[in-house]
Amino acid sequence: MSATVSLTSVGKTFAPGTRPVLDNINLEVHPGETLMVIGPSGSGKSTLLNCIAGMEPYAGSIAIDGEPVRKPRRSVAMVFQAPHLLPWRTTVGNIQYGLQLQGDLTKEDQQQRVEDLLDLVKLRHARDRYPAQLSGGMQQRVNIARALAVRPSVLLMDEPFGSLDAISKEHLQAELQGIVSGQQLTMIFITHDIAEAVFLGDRVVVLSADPGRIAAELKIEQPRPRPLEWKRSAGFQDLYSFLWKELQQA
Amino acid sequence: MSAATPEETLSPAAAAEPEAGPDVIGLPRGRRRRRGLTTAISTASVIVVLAAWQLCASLGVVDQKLTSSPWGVVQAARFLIDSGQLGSEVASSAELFGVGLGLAIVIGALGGVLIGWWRLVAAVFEPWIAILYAMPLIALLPLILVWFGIGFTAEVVMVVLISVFPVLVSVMTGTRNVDQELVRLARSFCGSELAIIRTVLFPSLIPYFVSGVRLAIGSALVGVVVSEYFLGNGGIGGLIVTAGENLQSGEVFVGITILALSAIVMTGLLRRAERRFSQWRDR
Repeated sequence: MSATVSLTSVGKTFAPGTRPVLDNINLEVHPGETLMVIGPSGSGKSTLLNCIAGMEPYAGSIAIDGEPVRKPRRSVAMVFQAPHLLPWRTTVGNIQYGLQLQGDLTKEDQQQRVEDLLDLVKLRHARDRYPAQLSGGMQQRVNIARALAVRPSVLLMDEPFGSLDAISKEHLQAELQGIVSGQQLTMIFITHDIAEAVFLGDRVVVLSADPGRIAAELKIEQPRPRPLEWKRSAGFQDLYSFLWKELQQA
Repeated sequence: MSAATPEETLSPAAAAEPEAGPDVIGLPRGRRRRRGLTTAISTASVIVVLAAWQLCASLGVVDQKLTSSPWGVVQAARFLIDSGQLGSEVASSAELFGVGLGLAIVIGALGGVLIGWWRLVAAVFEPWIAILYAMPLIALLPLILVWFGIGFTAEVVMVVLISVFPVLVSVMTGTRNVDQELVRLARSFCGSELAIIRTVLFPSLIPYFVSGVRLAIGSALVGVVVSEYFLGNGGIGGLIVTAGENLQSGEVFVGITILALSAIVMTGLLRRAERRFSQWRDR
């Protein structure tokens, strides 16, 4: 079910005559791989993700399983930084939303899938609550479940844990591994948090700022599932330091 | 995740009783008691004014012919009810009000969405809306009289004209203020334009729609009375005019009371309906 995402000399300029936001990005994300993209603000991380999602025009070529991306497609789901839940829908209604828009399943099948996801993201107790009654972490889990509900082959994450407190963030990072492990997903995950990049990624790409170019790449060989304790180990610290130095130069 | 996850314990909303309906959660006790007091004062205020009116009339301080009295109004109402006139006038006004306001709501809501959602449509209609919304539309009355003559059609046109803009402008504003991030989200799921309008726009329009309708109810009542004064001679408006000409001030007050009560009842019902539709708010 997972897919290959290939970017060939992708560039993006917002207004003619201005400096490009993205410049000559070449990347191949393999089926089932989790690619983390880090970079300073202004490095065009979110723009890159929007291009891959087909939400923004770009120069060069982006292809998913060989097919060029020009508009949003059903096999790609996006998790935005803010949860963007529909405030008038309950947890169940929000998780179902993407499925409803795509309209491929019968109502019963949609509901069945939502029920399965409620357990996966541990929100069964909050199934009938409105977003205003959920904490930030719970809202973000609804957001992720909504994206997973459409069974995407590519999941694009735009700093999904960026606005959470440190403790909720670590919990969700640990949970996310379990959530996606059974899903056969190719994941591209934007973050500005080095520790998050090392902890979650199979590979980390460092983008430089102004214009956004690929400055460095690092493979993370640590087997999964990775316990939170790994974050306090020397091996983790070495990877962290390497990326930290790269980011200083980026 | 274990029972005491930080995000759950940190959330005040999650700790609140989820079963509590919108009527149960309300003001804290101190403010509730103060609200009871203000209600009592308001009630007393109405009673005092009515009593003073009755007293002045009974003692001959004011001329009953011109001012009537609360008791006089009750007697006039009884007379009008017994003769069957009140019932038929109310029915005729209600018909005009219903048809006029109904059309205004449909036209206003549809137009508001079209103009708010598509910029080109807005470019065409916006100058006209700006002009018509700003001007006193009653000024158009002579034209309506010339174009449609005296009768129900002219009356309906007047009511629609005067009550369509509150709905239209409110819905238009709401459409423009729709959360663009939710629209983007729906697009990312390949939602069609129509699906986005239905699932994102419509639910977020409810408060704008309701406040537009609330304003329109007031305007439509003005429209009904004005049309009945000048474009026809039936209904509550006609009753008031005729009674005034015959110095039947009691009957004038009967008409006025009916108008006031219907405005209050309708906006009250609307507020209740709005609360039912927006249970997700303020929790």
